[in-house]
Amino acid sequence: MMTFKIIAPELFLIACSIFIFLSALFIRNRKTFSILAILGLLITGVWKYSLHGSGFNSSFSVEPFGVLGSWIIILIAIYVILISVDDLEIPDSSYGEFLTLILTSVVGMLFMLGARDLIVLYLGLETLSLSLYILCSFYKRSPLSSEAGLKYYLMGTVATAILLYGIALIYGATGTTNFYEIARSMSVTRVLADPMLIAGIIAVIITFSFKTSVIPFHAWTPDTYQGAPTPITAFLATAPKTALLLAFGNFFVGSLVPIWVEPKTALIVLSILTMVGGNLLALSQKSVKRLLAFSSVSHVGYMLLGIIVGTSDGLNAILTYLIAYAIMNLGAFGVVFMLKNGDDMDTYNGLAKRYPYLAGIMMIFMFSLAGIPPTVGFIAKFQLFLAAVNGGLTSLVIVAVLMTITSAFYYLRIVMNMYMKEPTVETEVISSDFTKGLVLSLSILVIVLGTLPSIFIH
Amino acid sequence: MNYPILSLTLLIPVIGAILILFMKNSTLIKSTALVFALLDFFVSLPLWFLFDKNSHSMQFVEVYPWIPFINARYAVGVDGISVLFVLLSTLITVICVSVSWKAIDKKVKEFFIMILLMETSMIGVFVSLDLLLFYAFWEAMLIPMFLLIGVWGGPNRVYASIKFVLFTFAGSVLMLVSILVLYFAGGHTFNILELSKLNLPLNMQIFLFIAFTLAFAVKVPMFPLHTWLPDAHTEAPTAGSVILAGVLLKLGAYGFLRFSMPFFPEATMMFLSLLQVLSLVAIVYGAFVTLKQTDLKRLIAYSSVSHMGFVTLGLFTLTQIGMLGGILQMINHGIVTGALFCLVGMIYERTHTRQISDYGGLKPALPIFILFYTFFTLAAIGLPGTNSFMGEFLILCGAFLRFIPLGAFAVLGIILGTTYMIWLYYRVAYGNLNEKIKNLIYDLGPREILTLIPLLLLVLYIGFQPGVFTSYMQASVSNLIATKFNSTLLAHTLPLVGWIR
Repeated sequence: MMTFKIIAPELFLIACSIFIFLSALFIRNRKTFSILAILGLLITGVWKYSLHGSGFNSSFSVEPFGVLGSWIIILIAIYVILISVDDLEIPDSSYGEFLTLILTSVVGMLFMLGARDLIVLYLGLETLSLSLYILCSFYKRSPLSSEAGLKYYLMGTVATAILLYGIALIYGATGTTNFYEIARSMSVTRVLADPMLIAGIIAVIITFSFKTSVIPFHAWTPDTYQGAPTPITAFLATAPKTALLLAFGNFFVGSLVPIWVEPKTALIVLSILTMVGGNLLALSQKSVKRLLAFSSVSHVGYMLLGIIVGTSDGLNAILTYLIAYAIMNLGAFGVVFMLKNGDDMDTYNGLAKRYPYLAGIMMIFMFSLAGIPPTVGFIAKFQLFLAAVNGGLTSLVIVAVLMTITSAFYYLRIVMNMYMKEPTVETEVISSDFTKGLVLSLSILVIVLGTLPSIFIH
Repeated sequence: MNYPILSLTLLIPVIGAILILFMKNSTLIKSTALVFALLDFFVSLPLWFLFDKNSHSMQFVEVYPWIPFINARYAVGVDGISVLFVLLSTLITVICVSVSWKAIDKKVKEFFIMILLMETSMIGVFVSLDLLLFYAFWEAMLIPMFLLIGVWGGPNRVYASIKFVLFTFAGSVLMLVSILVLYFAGGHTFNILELSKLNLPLNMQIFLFIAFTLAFAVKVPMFPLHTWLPDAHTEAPTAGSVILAGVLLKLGAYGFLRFSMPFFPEATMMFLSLLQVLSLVAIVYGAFVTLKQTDLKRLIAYSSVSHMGFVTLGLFTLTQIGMLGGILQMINHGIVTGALFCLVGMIYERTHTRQISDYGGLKPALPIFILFYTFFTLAAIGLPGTNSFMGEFLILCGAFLRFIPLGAFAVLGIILGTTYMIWLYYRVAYGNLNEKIKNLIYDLGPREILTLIPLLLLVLYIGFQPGVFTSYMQASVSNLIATKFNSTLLAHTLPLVGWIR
């Protein structure tokens, strides 16, 4: 019974989501349930913070690193709930479902972060994915939103099936699904030539690539990001990436180190493809959400460097990067959400004339995404590249910095539209003051963390 | 006077910018910007008086931990190479605010915020003693300059601004990789003073030298990386051009002195001939292209390419006299070209044309304007008694000392320089007054005269007392040559330096 203590916060969060789901059938009050959900998330976070150790035959563990990741996810979820409470255009009757799904996806992600066993990782991923499929198609009457959900679902289930297959193969080759046991069995028997193991590892990498939209497995990303309701897109672009990169990072670093050369080569190829492809594809986008989708693809390409390094230093750099990445993406999607027709590039023409402060905020996020100081985006890139150079990946870092030049071009295009063009399309700010305040505080955070990074780098 | 001069100098413009953010009235915004620019100038002024000229070490040093995890520090300080540039930056900013008083009529608030943020990042580059801090300031500068050109510039401003950003950004990202490599080579430190004591293996030096030099060469700009400059200069608003000419171009040359040379002395020696030749090409090619220009601002922009060629030639002679001349000429060029851009901006405000063919006969019509214009034209040519004469003279001395043909070719640039400036003067000042602009022009007002007076005085002061200025740099430059390069050429030059004192 004692071992249940280690997953108590997750169980509590499940209880919260069920409670909200059931009571939302009778009471329709968005504010009350939002506060309940946020309280539930905060309690879960604090509770996790107080725990330490592992359980269930060391297939699930709580460590400071994972707790930090959990906190990022919890804060992202809280932000998404906060901007949705007044402004998300869904009927009050389905708002309870919306909250329930956000909470269950968080549960899935928390399980992934604690997973030290492929089965637990799979269960967490499936919980997360099923919630996300529904969230993406939440605008029931919008064909784009339905397309987003359906596309994500069809391709996502194939990917998770491949993962399950890969787990089975790895189990066949090593006789275990536990991260550390896999590592031990590989270092003892040197099963490198075993085709079964290689196939299994390839399957795991494919699923990981698919879920984090690594090129060439990214095809679902732009459509899903564009079609999903904007707060969900913001959630989709940040929280699952945090969980996936850290959880699979744990697996790669924890169990594949004895045979690291081959997976490393595969990941290097994937990261180059992703950095180059993501940035080039973003250049010609007319939809801001699609542009941000490809930009997030390219950011994953940079973050892969941290995994390729293959040490916990690399994972720490990814964690730093993810914090910055979450702040600037939530901010940028927040601005898109605040504007009527915010998805259309032309909406931003002459925005500085109509809404100078909003344009200034968006500009800060764009410069941060481009990695120009004094923003948090620069510090994060610097930290990540530092870890990569330390890991002997200087040539990959050169590719990465060259691609940031390309990325500057499309981020600056939005700034140019806002400041250097005349307004062409009618638009207005359609969000509540509360949302405005949230987005503003994120932009201040970008600058503050960019100038005083020791606040969040440990 | 025991206060953190450099930190205050960095902080005051930011405070001003934040205050302006909450203001609505445009006169109030302008006054606030002017007050903070002046305040910053007076705060930085003690550097001039308290600087110890006999020491080559860093002075006014302030060190605080910044990101302890990676051993990055907030470390600032000045030595003989950088101290005058801090003063130049604060002075130029005052000039910029003053010259934009009437010229800026849209998005006034954003404009003055950008000017003040620009000031902080420029000064930050000069005073940083930590590589990460330096790089942060270096890149942060892109944001205000991009907007200054792109929002308040001329008709082709969007193209010019994006070209500026992509050129400079592309130039400097490889420097970022080199900084990371240096960090590990130097034993996990970003400390510039410690890194300049390193003895790196030659092949590593070459790689890093290329990356650093590329970033600086774009900024200077050296031939053939200069193509962004004419566009940026031409399209930028007057204040933007003044900042570009006055300070921004100097950052590249400063980078050579602070990083490329002391960090990678052997690589510098290897590439020395190439860099000298490129400087010569810039001088001569820049001058020939200048002759062909029909646009006032473009003409002065191309003349900058030529003049900056002199600067880099002086630095790459690696002789004490040449390097002193190079640094002095950086300041001279900032003052003189800055003043010329001010003048062009003032006349453009009235006529809204930059075509040289639209002008002519201004001499009888605008006596005060022509007075200043004549003066700064003569200064740009390098008439004895003006500052550019001393700078160019010292650079030529250095060039002849290093290798006689170098000096011989460079003299060609001086002849061409005289030609294009005099010819421009002839076309603008003499002849018949153009009908198109006849009713538009009126002479300079008190604000405009007041803007130009300090620059005029500085031209004369440096022209007659160059020794006062070179004495600030001498200790640091000698130390650089003595510790990093063959010191035989140092001895040669000492009597000459004694003469200019």
